[in-house]
Amino acid sequence: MAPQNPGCAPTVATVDPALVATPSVQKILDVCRAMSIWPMTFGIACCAIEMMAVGMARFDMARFGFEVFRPSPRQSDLLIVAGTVNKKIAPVVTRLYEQIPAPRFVMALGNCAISGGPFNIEGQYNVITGVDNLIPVDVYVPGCPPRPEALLEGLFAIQKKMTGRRWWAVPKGGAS
Amino acid sequence: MIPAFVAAMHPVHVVAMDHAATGVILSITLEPARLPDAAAVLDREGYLLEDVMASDLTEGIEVQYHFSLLDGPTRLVLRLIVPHDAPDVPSIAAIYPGANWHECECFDFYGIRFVGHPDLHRLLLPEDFEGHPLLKAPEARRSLGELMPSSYCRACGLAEPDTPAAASAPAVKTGPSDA
Amino acid sequence: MHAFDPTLLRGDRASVRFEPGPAEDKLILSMGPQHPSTHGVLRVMLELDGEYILRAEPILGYIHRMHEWMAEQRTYYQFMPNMGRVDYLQAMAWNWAYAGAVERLAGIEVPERAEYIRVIVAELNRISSHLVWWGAYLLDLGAFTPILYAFDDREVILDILQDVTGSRLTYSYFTFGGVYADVPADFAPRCLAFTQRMRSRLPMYRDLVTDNVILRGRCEGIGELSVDQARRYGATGPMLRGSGVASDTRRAEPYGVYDRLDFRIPVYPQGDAMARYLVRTDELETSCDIIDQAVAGLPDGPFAAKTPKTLKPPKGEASFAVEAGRGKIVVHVRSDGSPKPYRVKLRAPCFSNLSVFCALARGVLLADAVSILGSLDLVIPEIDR
Repeated sequence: MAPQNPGCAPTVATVDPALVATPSVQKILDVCRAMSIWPMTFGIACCAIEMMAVGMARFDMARFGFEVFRPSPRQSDLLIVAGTVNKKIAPVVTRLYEQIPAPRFVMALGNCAISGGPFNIEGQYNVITGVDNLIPVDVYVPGCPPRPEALLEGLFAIQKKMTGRRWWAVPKGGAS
Repeated sequence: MIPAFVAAMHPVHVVAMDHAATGVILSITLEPARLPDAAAVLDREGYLLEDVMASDLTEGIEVQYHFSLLDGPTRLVLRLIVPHDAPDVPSIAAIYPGANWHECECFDFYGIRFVGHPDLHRLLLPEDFEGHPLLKAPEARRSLGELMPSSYCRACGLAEPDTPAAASAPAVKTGPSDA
Repeated sequence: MHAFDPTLLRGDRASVRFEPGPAEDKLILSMGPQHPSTHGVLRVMLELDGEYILRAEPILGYIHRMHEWMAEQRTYYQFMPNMGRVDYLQAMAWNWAYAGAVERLAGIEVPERAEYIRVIVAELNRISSHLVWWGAYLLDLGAFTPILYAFDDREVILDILQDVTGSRLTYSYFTFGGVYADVPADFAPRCLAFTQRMRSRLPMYRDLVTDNVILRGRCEGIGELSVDQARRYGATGPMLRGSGVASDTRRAEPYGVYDRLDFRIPVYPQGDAMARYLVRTDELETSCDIIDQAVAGLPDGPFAAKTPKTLKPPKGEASFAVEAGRGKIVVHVRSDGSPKPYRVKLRAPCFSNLSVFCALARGVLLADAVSILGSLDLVIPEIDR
């Protein structure tokens, strides 16, 4: 998508490789990291409510390690983009992503963050058709809004990306 | 029936409407210059400003102000039309501070300039957005006679199209599924 | 000391307009759009003297999703799902306002069973919206526990509405002439079980939270709004009822079957954040009363009127007002006789409620401004549409 104004330009942030590579320690660190991911509170629209519901008593993502929601990007690992990204908030999303220290992960929650969702119609003038136009996305969770169980599966996929395997039981009848 | 204070607004048209069918009890058409005085009259009568909306017509841009009392089915609408090439409307932000943002929104989407507004700026669209998205292409505009019911047109002396309303559907492309 | 140049921050053009006032030693603080206490993507530019706010100006548009423009591109039926997204916490109220406006335009009569179902689901939605407001408000004030209880109660409502509509959050349940599908057989007993549960929880909430000395200290005397100010800004709903006026669209312009139901309208005269808090927590109880009555009176019959496959209302315009949890929603629809609306205007109560904030926040502490913002019960997508 050709950005109409510089504010909607994709991120140019890069991550330097580690100075000293320590693969065996890295595997252990990855597991530790995966079991205590700190998401950032960045609820934009409707999907934010489902994100809140996942943090609450019934679905409780604290069981899986995602207990600590930090409002500051500098203290987070995971940016959950929950909602529609439009031209005015695009530079904010990019800046927040760039402020998260590496290793950082991004989950596009909901159809709007994946592709613009129901607002991606011909002739539309304000919606960014997918947050992956701005920042690299690791996991896409479809739905409008996705069920809390879908969000949890998305979180498990992030953990799988970090460590190479899924750590939790697969629900009966569901593929991992 | 038509309240006494309406006369003080010096309206162009006053039409009593059916609340069950339209949601308003009174439609008052004004000259744009009379708007601040009309708003002052309504303020004295204790009306609440619900919203300010605009609509792109063939004749110009129609701006509607909806007011209602705090109780009862009392919604009334003030209407005025300004031409496309000179969309200037006096601002009522000094009388109804809530109009401040409503007028900014109308400016944002229709390009209407509210004269006397303390700080007219783009409210919802990005600051550097170009254009006014809710303005229609000239061939998609309709006139007031094509948009208001026949009883209203007769009361105000508006010309209605000769063909029935259903056949005057615009020649725009419908989507792949039409229901 | 160099003046702060916000254009140096890439893309931050919105704050360029906010010029500091003449006084020296003032702090310009940009609160949001990503902030734990702004209830969504609201940005408030603040000019502070220490911790006292000299000037507050909200900046909107961070979730503007072109709903009114989409209305002109879509047919009447196709636009209904947008209503669930305008304000996702009270999707039923927005559904009703839009469906009601189009029904007025097209002269569609809604069968009685559908009217009762509409009342029940709208009141369930109101309770769930108030629970989210209550939990989030207390979260802003620093109390983490109430939101867990609020969401726990809300999950029961969501289970009921999920079996009725298929969605947890963004409902498109209403259609022109009624509702989209009939309610399942266990709907009535589940609603009654829920209201019983809700009523049993309210005394605990009152003792632990409402009567809590810290909450009282943070809400009493904060953000006092006079009726005249509310009227001239267009603030409706709990803003008016918290300032002493018994103004409720369900009584003023009765729609559905509200004129047959007996319910109290809570009114508190003080006009401060505590009064608005008490109005909303009382509404949790009055909504339970309405649900009980409506379930008891639910008649048999069709759940929707027959409507044509392509709806082309005759030319004209219609407005429909609904009392939502946040205030008065009014949807204006204008038709030129074609399958697509000519103009749809969505009058969002939060838009007017937030515009009062500029006046209420002057001269208060920053922490009190957070309390005032919470007491306005904002959902930003409704403001931005």
